[in-house]
Amino acid sequence: MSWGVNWKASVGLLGVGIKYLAVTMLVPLVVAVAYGEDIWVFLVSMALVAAIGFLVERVDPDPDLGPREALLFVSLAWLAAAAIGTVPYLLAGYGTASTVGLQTGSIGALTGSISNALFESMSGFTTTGATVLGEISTDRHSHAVMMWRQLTQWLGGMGIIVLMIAILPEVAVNGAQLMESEAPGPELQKLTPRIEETARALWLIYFGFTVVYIVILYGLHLAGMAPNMNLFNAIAHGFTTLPTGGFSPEADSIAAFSAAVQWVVIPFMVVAGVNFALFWHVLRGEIEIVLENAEFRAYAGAIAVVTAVLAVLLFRGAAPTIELGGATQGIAENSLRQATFQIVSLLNSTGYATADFVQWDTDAQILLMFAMFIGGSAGSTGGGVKIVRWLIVGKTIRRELFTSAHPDVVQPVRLSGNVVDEDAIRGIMAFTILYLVLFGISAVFLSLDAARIGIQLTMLESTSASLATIGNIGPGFGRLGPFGSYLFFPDTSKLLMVFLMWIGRLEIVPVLAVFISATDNR
Amino acid sequence: MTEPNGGRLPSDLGVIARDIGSLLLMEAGLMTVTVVVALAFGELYAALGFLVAGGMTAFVGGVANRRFADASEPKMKHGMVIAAGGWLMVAVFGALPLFLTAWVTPPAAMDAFVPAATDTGSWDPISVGGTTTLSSLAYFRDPLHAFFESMSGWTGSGLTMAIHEPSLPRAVQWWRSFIQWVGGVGVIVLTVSILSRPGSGSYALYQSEAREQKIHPSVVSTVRTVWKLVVGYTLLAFLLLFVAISASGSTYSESLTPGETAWQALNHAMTGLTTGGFSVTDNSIATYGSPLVEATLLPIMILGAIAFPIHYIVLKDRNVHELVADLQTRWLFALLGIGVIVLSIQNLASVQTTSGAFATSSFVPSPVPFFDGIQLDAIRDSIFQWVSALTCTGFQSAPIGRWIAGAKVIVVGAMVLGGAAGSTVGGIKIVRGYTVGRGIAWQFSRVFLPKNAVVTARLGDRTLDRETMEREFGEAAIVTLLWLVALVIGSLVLVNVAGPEFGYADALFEVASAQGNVGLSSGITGPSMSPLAEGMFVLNMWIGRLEIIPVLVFVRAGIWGLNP
Repeated sequence: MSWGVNWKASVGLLGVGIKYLAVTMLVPLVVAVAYGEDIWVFLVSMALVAAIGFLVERVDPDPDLGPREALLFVSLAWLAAAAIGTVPYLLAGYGTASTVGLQTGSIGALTGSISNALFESMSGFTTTGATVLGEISTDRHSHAVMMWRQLTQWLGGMGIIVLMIAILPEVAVNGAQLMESEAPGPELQKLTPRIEETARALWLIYFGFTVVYIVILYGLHLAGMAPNMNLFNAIAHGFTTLPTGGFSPEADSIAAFSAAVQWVVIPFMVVAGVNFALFWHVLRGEIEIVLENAEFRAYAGAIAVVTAVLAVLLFRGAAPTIELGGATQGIAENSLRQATFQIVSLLNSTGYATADFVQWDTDAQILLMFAMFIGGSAGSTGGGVKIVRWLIVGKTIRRELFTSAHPDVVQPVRLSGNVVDEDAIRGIMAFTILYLVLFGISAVFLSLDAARIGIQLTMLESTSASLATIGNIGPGFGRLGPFGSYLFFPDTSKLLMVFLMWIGRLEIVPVLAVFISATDNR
Repeated sequence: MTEPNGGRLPSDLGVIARDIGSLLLMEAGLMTVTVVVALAFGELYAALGFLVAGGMTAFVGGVANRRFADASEPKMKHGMVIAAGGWLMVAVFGALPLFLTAWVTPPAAMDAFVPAATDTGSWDPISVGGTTTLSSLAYFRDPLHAFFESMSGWTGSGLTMAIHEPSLPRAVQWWRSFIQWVGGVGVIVLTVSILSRPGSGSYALYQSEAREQKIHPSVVSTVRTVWKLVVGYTLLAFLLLFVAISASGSTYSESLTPGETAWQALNHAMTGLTTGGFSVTDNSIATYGSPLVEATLLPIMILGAIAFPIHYIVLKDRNVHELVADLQTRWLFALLGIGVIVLSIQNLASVQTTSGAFATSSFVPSPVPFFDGIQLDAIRDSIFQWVSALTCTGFQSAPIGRWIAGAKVIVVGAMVLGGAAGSTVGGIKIVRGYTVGRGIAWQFSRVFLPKNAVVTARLGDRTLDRETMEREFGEAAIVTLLWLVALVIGSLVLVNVAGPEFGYADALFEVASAQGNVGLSSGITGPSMSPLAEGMFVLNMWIGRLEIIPVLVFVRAGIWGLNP
């Protein structure tokens, strides 16, 4: 079948990626050795995945990629990674009560366990953080498996960086390429002349932040300020903060740690939602470029404003005194900490929590939902619609109001002083509408599908499930709260959410572009 | 008059004030007509209320019109401000007769409006002036309720503060139907002449050089033609409804005198054809409990949802083929068909779990294969409510508040989309939804083409070049996005103030209904709702009617003036 695209090249390259994925399984293998756990799970997984990688690579050993092939490659890459990522879950949980372990009792149990594992794995690689693990603990699932779960998010984050610099700029339809080409600005592929060098630079920043972060967390532990933050936990959280992931091997997420740890996590979550290209400028001492960047200012401003409102609400008693999170009414430090943490975490799509916010008042929860709509910056690992798109949508609407009254005047939309390409504006409009429509339709479907098997979702639950997966956020509201789980959904809903996480991570476009252009022009 | 902005604004302000003044003069004329109606029914207090209101409206309109008589001709930039400001002012003054009538009518006289044979056991008495009355007229003593009712009328929405419509004076019943009827014509004129500019869907469809479909070059002749069509259709609808109500054979219809039947047929013909949705019966169309009446209303509502330029062409050329040739009409019929099926399936599936969600049972005397009585009723209500929602009419034949959330959300879809641009429907309209869909697909289909490649897109039977398509898509996308954002924000506000018995689906439904100028209600709207929500609904109806952008231009002009 010819799709107007050399799919063999894309698949061949996929094989290379899968081989590397086998190598990364060394990390959980080391953990297994360190904790004296069964090492066969990851040995077998590595062998199996490596074999798959070699086989797939044989489809086209010397791939030659054009833009179409590159798009097809990324579309498939996340699917393949998610599929491959299920192997350790299925193997390790085989024959146990684990919800993601392979169950062979009946057809229903088999498909159920596979869709659970796929959900967990896709949630990892898309750095979402939604979970179907019934019980989150290293006793139920070994340290090694829990570390694999963390690692998938870190790898997913690296994948996103490649996506941003090498793939999306090739297709400007969703506004990934915002500026007229001659305009200066923090455009990723121009940091250095070559894509590989840029990728390396950004990975270095990503890697550097991760290392610094782990050292600080473990340092706090050694200093006696974080009793639970042992080396395992420090590395585990190091793997899921920078990619705005949100998985934690602790059932209580960050609420399991001291206030000091929570304050340290906040700035690193903020960093994870910033355009990584800006750190390149910071390293070169060009701090004013960062400060003049419209998206960075909007990001910082949005966090500050929403946090301030929420902190006041909490201080005035919007949260009952709960076991995780403690009392906030009249307590300034805890109000500020809980507000900042939750807002930063949900706004840039991380998904950690230090309080069970589903028990807060409705208006506080609606504020959180508002934050979930905003999303991180373009060029970060954050999900959602992304701040820069909202900025441009807003500016375009303002321009429309002006030109409706004055049809003859030509007025460009500017961002940080640069003219934004009209094509990019339309791309952003298309993306935003598509995103909202997909979100709405999925929420309806989830609600109907759950009703089919006799579960009544509240509207807040169905909308937040849809938003938290397409926006790669993780926790929702109601039963899907930060300490809840997506386990009770029917398999069909889980598969829909796997699709949403996938399409949300890829920003919808690559998937559609490959299919539409394949059916359209050739 | 003060001169803000160093004297730059007044010239614009003069143009705007003069034209809005003319609109108010026309409204005063409508009030005078209603005075005649009131006198004909012997309702002296109502006649007084409408007379005073008419005088005040005429005075304000006359002063504005005279004072700025020498202002220059309106230009493009004034059009939107006049439209948005005009709708607002007309709604404000339209509330006056309701408010005044409620205050000049003594509470004792109000009770006379409650029809004698009515079972008022479940009605809540309203306390006014130290006593109580059962007449819903008393609600209009609250200025916000009166303003709400007027805005709901002028925007063709149909949400109402009068819980029991039969207990209103005839003059007030007439005024509610009358303003929906006239407001409907206003909307048609608005969309085919004033708002029709390059980049909006109706321009592309009805004003292209390729297809001389614009009715007439000038607004005045457009109004004249639209009036002829509307009056003709209304007479037709009136006759059909009169026959249908008389022949329906339900207990309620049997109890009506021929005069009362004619009155109801006239009012429902006026509000049905202009997709308004006010009724003069207590439970909207559910009052009749008659499949025949519902079936008669279906084509009337659908007529109102077809673009009027298409009506004109079809009637002038005596060529029904034009209906199928028109993109919007084609899609309208397709959506009507698909939606009825989807909503029926959803409601059939919920028959077991919802109680009292559908009108009555067993309207068919003999058993029908496959379906029992209540299932047939679910289908019947699904058909009527879907058509009522998609055409943005708002006649209600079932207690939608009791439907399950899934069915409500499906109906929300219909209310958000609406019918064809160029008719009296609300929502984002079919042409816009279509343009956004085409535009998104089009953006993707040329991902791999070079930036300067020659590409064209098709919209209906027209081939648009790149620039035109980009404009069409850009405008449609902005309106759609604003619409959705306003809907989400509105529903989030409403779910917080609406009381615990209403879920998020109810809130979403109600806001979509107000903003889409539909008028279906899940039960939130009523005199006891929070004033915040009531005020928000007024805003939703206003921005929905004007398709948002003109209201924003109006606000922008109010703050910064019209000049760059």
